[in-house]
Amino acid sequence: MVASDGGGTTPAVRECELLVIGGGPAGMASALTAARHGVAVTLVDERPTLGGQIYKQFGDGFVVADARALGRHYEEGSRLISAVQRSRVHVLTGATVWGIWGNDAYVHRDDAPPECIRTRCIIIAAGAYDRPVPFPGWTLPGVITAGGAQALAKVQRVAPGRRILMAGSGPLALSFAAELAHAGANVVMLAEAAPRPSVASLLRMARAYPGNATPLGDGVRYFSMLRTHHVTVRWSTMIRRAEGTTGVERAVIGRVDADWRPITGTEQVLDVDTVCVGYGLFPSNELARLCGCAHSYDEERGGLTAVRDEWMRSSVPGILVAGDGAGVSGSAVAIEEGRLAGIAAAMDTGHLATGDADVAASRPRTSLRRTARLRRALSRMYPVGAGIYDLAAGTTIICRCEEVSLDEISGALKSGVTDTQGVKSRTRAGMGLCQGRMCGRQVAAEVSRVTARSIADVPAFSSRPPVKPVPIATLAAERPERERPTVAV
Amino acid sequence: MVAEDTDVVVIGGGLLGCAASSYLARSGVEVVLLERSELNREASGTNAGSLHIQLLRPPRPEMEWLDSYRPMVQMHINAARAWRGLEDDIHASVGVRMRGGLLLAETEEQVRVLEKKVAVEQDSGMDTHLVDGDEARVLCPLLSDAVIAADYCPDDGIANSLLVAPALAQSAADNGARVRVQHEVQAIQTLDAGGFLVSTSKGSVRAKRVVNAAGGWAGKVAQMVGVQLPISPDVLQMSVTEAQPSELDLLIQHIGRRLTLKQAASGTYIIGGGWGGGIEAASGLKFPEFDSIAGNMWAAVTVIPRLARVRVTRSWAGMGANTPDWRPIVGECDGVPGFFTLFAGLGFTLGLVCAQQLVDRMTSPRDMRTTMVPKDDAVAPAGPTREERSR
Repeated sequence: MVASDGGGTTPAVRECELLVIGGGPAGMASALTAARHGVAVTLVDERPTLGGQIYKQFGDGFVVADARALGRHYEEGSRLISAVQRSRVHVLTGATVWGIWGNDAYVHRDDAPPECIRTRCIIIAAGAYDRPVPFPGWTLPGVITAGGAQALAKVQRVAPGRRILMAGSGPLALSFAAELAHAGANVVMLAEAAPRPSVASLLRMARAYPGNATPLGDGVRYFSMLRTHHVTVRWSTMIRRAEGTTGVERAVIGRVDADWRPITGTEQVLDVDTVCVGYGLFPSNELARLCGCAHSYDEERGGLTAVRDEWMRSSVPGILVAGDGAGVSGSAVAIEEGRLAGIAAAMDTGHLATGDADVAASRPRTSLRRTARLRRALSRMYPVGAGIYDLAAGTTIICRCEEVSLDEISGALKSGVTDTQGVKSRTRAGMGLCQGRMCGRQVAAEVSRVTARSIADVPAFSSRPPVKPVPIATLAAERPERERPTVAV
Repeated sequence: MVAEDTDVVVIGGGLLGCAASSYLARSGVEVVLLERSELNREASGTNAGSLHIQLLRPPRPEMEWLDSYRPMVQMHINAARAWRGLEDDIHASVGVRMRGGLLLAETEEQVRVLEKKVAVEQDSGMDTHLVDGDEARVLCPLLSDAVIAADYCPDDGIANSLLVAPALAQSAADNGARVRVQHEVQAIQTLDAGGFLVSTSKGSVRAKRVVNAAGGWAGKVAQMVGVQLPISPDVLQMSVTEAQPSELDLLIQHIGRRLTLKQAASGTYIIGGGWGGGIEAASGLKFPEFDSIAGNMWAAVTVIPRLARVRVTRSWAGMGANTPDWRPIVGECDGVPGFFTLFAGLGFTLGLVCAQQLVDRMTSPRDMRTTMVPKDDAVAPAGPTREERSR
C-alpha cells in the first residue's frame, strides 16, 4: 500500500489476468474453468461467503448433519464452493467492486484499505435480485421478497411469519412456496399470476424434456410438496394490497386476466401476517451498464439484458457478462455461461488456442441449447403480464429510499418531464441509497405510460460510480489538480 | 413546412435560457425557447448548486486575476439579491438557502491570497470578512484544526440546481412563452428583411431577435451566424453522499484546493469544486474519473474529517464552460443586429443577473449595441467584434 502525505490512501494495486465479479454459480464456474486453463484469477464477492443467493450457505453456528436432505442446490453449491477453495483462484469475500475504469476495478472492503485490481479481462457475474413490485402496502413490515424469505430459511432456518401468502409467478415462486411449506412454515396459499397451464404448454414442457429431467423433476416434486402440506394453489391470481397498521394483518388478492390486469369483483381477503412476493428477478446490471456494455430489453429475463457474443463477451472489449446478471435464466444456465466465459477468458488472455477453446466449449454449448428449450417453454407458460406495473395506487410509495409516491411521479410527468432522468431530477426518485434498483422500473413504466412508448424504449436511470455506497475514507487520496481540457462539442 | 413566428427565439433550455425566457415573457415579449434535448440537462442541472457570492478562488495563481475581475464584484452583489428574490418572484420552491459561506485557507501563503481577495471585495462594497481559524470553527464547528483562516461571506448560499431552471421554464410558459424541447437548432439564417430563420430538427421559427444561451454549445451556435465566441467547454464532476442529520448550513470552499461542499435540504452532502470528468467522444456521455473522485474526497475530508465515514452514493459529471478571463459575455453581437449572446461562465451563481441584464437591455427603448458585462470597456474582455468574425 502506498500512503500519500498525511493520510488518505492510494489504493494498493493487485494484478491478475482475470477478475471475476460475483461468487454465485456463474462466477464460480467461470473462475474454476479459467483457472484450470492456467489463467491467474481473482474472484470477488460482496458477501462474506461464496455461493451467491442460490447456493447460500448456513450462517455461523450451524452444522449440517445430512447434506442430501437439504436438496440438490445445497449439494451442488457445496461442491462448487469447495472446488473453488481447493483451486488456485484467489478469492476475496466481503469485497465490493464499486467502479471500473479501463482495466482497473476498485474494491471496497469494510475496515480494510482500498484496493485496485488491475486485470486484462473481467467477467461480471453479478447475479440477480428480487423484482420489486410496488402495490398498496408493500412497504409494511411483513411484506417480504421471496429471495429474502429464502435467505432467512437458508441461512438461519427461520420462517418469515406465522401465516404466509406466497404471491408470485413462475418456477421460483413455486419452489419458494414448496420449500417454505416443507420446512414447516404455514403457507396459506400460493397465488400464481399465470393461468393454469394449458395442455399445449404442458406439451411444450414435455418436448423440452430431453436433457431437462432435473429441473422438470423439481417442478413435479414442488407441486407434490404443496399438496402434501395442503397449500392451496390459486392460478390467475395476484396480490392487490396488504393491509395493517404496524404490520401486515391481512392481504387482499384478486383474479387477473392473461395480461395480469385485475378482474373486478374477484377480490378476496386473506388472514395472513406475511406476504412473500416473488414475481421474478431483475439482473444486477449496474456494473456492466457502468462499463458501457450494450443492453437490450427482455421482460422475461428481467429487463435490461447484456448484449453478448457466443463467448459471453459484451460489446466492450475485455468485459464478459455471465449468468443471471446478464439476463435471468437460472442457475443451470448460469453455470454453463460461466464455463463459456471462463474458456473465452483463457482464450483472450492467451492460455488457450481458438481450436482448443471450441472443443472445450462444446459441452457447455450443448447443455445451454437444451436448457434454452426449457426456458422458452417456461417463459411461454409464465409470461410477465403488463399488469405488473398497474398494482400501485396514487399514494403508494414507489421510491422507498426517498419516499416518493406514484402521485408525485405522475405529477412530474404531467409538468412536461418526458424521461426517467427528468422524473429523478424533479422528485428525487432513484436518488437514495439503492440508486434506483427498487423504483427504476416502475418509474420507467410510468414514463412509458405517459409518453405512449414501449417500456423497452424508455432509457433506465443511468448507472454511476460508486455502484454501491462507499465511505469517503475509502475514496479519498491526494491527487494533483490538473487543468481541465477543453472538449469538443 | 410553415415557419412559426415570434419576436424572440431563445436557444438553450438551461438556467440562462429559461431565466431569459421567463423575464422576457413577463415583460410581454413573445418568446419561443428551443432546447435540443430536455430542459436543464447540462451544466445548469448537473452543477453542485453553489451560490458563491464572494469571489472565487483565482482560477490561476497570478494574483492579477483578482484585479481584472474587480469590475465583476457589483454583479456578484446583485446576484445575491436576485437569488434571494427568486422563489417569491416565480412562486416556486427551488431550495434557495443563503446562510453564508466560508472560503478556507490552510497555509500562510493561502492567507495572503485571502487578504488580497477580501480587500478587492470590500473595496467594491461586498460584505465579506477575513476570519481566523477559531472564528471559522465557531461559524462551522465541523472544520478541522488545519483551517487557519477563511473569507466569510454572509450572502453565500446554495440552491437546488435540479429545480431552478425547470421552475423558470414553467414561469416562462405560464407567461405565454412557448417552450420547445427536443428541438435542436441546426441552422440560423439572417433574413434580408431583418430577423432570423432558425431551423431546428422539428421545423423552423422566424424571429426578429435571437438569444444564444446555449452554454457550452454557445460557440457552436454563434458560428451559425459567423460569430466567434471565446468559450471553452470542459467537463466537471461532483459527488453526493447518503443523507446525514442536518449539521451544516454554510457553503464551504477552499482557496487552495478544488472544493465546494454543502449539505442539501435532503441531508446529503454535495461535494464538488472543479475536478475534471471524462467524456466519450462518440456519444457525448460524460463520466466521473477515479482520480478526480479521489482528489475531491481528499479535499473534503481534509477540512471536515468526520465525513470520512459518510458514504458516497453517486458521482456524476456534467458540462462546464468558460471564457479565458472567467467573465460573462452578455450583449448584442456587433455586425449581427438582433443576435444576442447570453453566456455567464460561472453560470449558476451569475445566471439570473446576466439574464436580467440582457432582458433589461432588450426591452429598454435605448439602442444599446455591443455591450459586455460589466460595461467597462477598459477591462472588458475582447468581444465578438466584426474583426474577430472575419477571421
